[in-house]
Amino acid sequence: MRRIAVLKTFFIILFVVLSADIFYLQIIRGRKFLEQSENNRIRLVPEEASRGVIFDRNGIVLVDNKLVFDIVAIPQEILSLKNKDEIFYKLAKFLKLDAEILSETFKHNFQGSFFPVMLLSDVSKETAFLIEQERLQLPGILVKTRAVRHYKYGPAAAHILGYVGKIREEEYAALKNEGYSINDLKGRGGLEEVFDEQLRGKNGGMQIEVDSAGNIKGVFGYKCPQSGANLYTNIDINLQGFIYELVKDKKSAVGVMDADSGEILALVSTPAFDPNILIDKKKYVEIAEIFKNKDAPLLNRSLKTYPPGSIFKIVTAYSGLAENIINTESTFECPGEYKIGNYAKHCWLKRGHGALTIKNAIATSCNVFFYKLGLKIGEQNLYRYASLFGFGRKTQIELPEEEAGIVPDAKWKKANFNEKWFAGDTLNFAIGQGYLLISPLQALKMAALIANIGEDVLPHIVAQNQPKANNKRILSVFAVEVIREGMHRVVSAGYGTGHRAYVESIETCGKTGTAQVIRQRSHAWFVGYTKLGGKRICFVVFLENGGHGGEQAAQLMRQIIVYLHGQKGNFT
Amino acid sequence: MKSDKLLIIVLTLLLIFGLAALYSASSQKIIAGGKNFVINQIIWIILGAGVAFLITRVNYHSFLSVAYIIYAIQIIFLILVLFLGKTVLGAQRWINFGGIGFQPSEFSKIFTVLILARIVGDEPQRFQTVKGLIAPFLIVIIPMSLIFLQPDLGTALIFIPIFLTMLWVGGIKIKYLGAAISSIALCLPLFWQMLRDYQKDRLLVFLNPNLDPLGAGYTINQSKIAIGSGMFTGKGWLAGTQTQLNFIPERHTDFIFSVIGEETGFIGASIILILFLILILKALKVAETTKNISGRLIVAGMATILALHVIINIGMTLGLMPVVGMPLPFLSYGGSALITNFMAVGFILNVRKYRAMF
Repeated sequence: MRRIAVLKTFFIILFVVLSADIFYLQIIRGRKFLEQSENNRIRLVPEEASRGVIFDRNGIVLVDNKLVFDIVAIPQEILSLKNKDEIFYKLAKFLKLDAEILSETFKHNFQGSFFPVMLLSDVSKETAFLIEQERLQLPGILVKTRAVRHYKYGPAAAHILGYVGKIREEEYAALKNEGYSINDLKGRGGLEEVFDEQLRGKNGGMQIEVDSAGNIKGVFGYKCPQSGANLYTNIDINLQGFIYELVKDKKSAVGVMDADSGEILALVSTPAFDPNILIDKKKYVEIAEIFKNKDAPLLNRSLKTYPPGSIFKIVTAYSGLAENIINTESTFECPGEYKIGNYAKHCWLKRGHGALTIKNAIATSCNVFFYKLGLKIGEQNLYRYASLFGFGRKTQIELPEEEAGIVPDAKWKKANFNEKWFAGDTLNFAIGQGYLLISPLQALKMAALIANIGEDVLPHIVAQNQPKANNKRILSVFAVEVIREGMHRVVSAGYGTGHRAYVESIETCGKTGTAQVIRQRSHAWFVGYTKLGGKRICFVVFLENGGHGGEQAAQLMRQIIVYLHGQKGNFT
Repeated sequence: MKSDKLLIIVLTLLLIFGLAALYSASSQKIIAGGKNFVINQIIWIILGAGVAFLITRVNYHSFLSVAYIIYAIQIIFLILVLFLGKTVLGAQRWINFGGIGFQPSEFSKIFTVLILARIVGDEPQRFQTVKGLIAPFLIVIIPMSLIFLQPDLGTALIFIPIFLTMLWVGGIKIKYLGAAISSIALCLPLFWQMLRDYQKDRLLVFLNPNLDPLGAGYTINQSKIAIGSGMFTGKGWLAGTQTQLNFIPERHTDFIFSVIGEETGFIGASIILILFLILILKALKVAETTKNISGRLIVAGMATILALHVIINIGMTLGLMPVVGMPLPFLSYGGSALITNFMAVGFILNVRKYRAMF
């Protein structure tokens, strides 16, 4: 077969080319390469980029980087010593540690001959200076500085900021081509995670030529590290800190937002965690406690979803007004209970509210009024208006793991439970119970829609993310004005369910919510808004298992309002 | 000497050489608490030898008769990889099957050779026409595109020379072969547009290693220093400074030849080259003396797979080829590649054994 003979010749030629090149490298230029390899002259010296700083709205630093001292060993130098155990013995004496532990740590953390091995991280300044002074006695041992994240306000803004952690192996595989390396840190949770790419900057480094004594003889290539971008947030850290102190021992979520611009002024979730602990490997006991804590401090409650209870009556009221089912004069009678079939659903006030108009029904949060109204509105319309207010959908805030929640309708119930939609489901829906789930952040957005009279708003934390477009009005002005009057009575009228939030001479509107949960204490809600200077500030208070919305939640709201009005200069 | 005995002896020598080099390449990593590369490799060698033995027990005509089914199955696996594949180093090449991860793209080369041998063998005359070339072309382009999407540039590209060799041995008219080669050349600019950024970077760095002194260029420079500094006799087993001081990344897989070059010098490197050349020439000898066209194509195809891997891998360590991630047959660490190579040898021995019957 001639053709196979040609193929053979072809392969033989290629093999000859390979051998010729090997001959050229090893025999003709071998001596030069041997010299290069003997000098071990090329080393890679990585240079880390510093991570971006995060600021609050007044330019106060929330996160920056501080320097810590590590004691490291250079394996290439340690391994070339005749008596390497002696080095560890000497070092152990200076550090008042066991030499065996040091040499074990060295073996365990070894990665490659030029890769510094961490022996002891974050030592005190005194220790660092002591080792630095004794340098001549300790060849191969170095004090290195390392930048670590410093969260100045600890747990107060933990869920907004997040923390940083070493990149996981599976993440590294996916991110390798985007410039991450195996020892990089990556943001976890909060802005650190969402804006990791901008914050991290680009690592640089040098490829240097050194002689046998380790002196630099030349630089082959240099890439300058690029610092990460700074982040400017809308958070007011003083307000954030004030709120955190109020609720730190509860399970809660509290949000404050400029209703017109969507700037988040504060977003607190408790229990919180201290990010400074999570980034410190030495504090593994405390870290384990954070992860094991059954109150889940890592959870950002402002983005998780819960039944809203009576604060949802805002949506039911709006639906009734917008669909012209009721006007300001229409009344429904509340005898204290509502019979459906042979089953009675009670109003929270057993003796009943009597005949109510919509404004007073909001002020007293009468269940029977909203049962009757809800049945007239129907499940489909409630679904439509709940969606219009943004429920069932993420707000697009710049934080990870936001939940969309659930707005149920007949189709949804069929798909999820394979059951028909009953009138009782509509009753529950109308007062914010049943399948409906919303997040405190979504409730905050609802409060904003009422506060700014129906203009769509995008809640956002980062100032650079300010949306450019003008807000579009998505609600009817007339209907919102009626609800505003009802919400005004909630706080200002003596019979209002949220009267505990009342502050004399400050105009505040609100709505309480008490969401019943099976076999647990109810969740307490309070949403509302207040005028502050020229601004309309809206807020949400959510207390998990916090009981009645008119009690603790309203009281907390009052404290926040008093604080806001005392500090108003800071927001303009 | 009977040529299958010689083949087995050559193969055994290569494996022993490979294990010694792997031990040296991974000794630092074992100290640092890594897994035991040599033991794993030995397990895979035993598995691979078993697979090769089983292949020699079944007449290759039986394989040809189910070639379409095998081909269809491998296409399904290649599609599965795209959806369920495990991402390693930025590319989805791996799939988990009963707890064992493997790369379907490795086996794909073998099965594509098998089906091409079947198609040409069925109707050798048809193959002389342009129309007759359409089916083989489609047969190759499907797995090639799927592998390209993973993305595994190196493995996808190797289908081109394998295909051209099969056409050549299959008796294609020279003018058609010329047309095929020039159309591939014309497609190159289009192909460049489809590459991902990091793949473009790699090719650019190959043309000028100083573009990226910290990344791929560094590997090529260090590999050349390692091989060159081995000189005539090498620095001795476990004594290569480039190897032991961690200068060469991936030295247990794609850059195992750098270890051999540094520690055993020109002598060792030449022995490896000669062993591979004997393996390939002996295989092609089997092809030459096989009358059945399918059998001849199988052997020529398998021999080409092995030869191309050797040439590209060694060329890569010498800086003559871009770093495309192609293992050195029987020497680089890695199960899927080893078993694939054993399968290739199994098919060569199989054709040798059963060809007399036809």
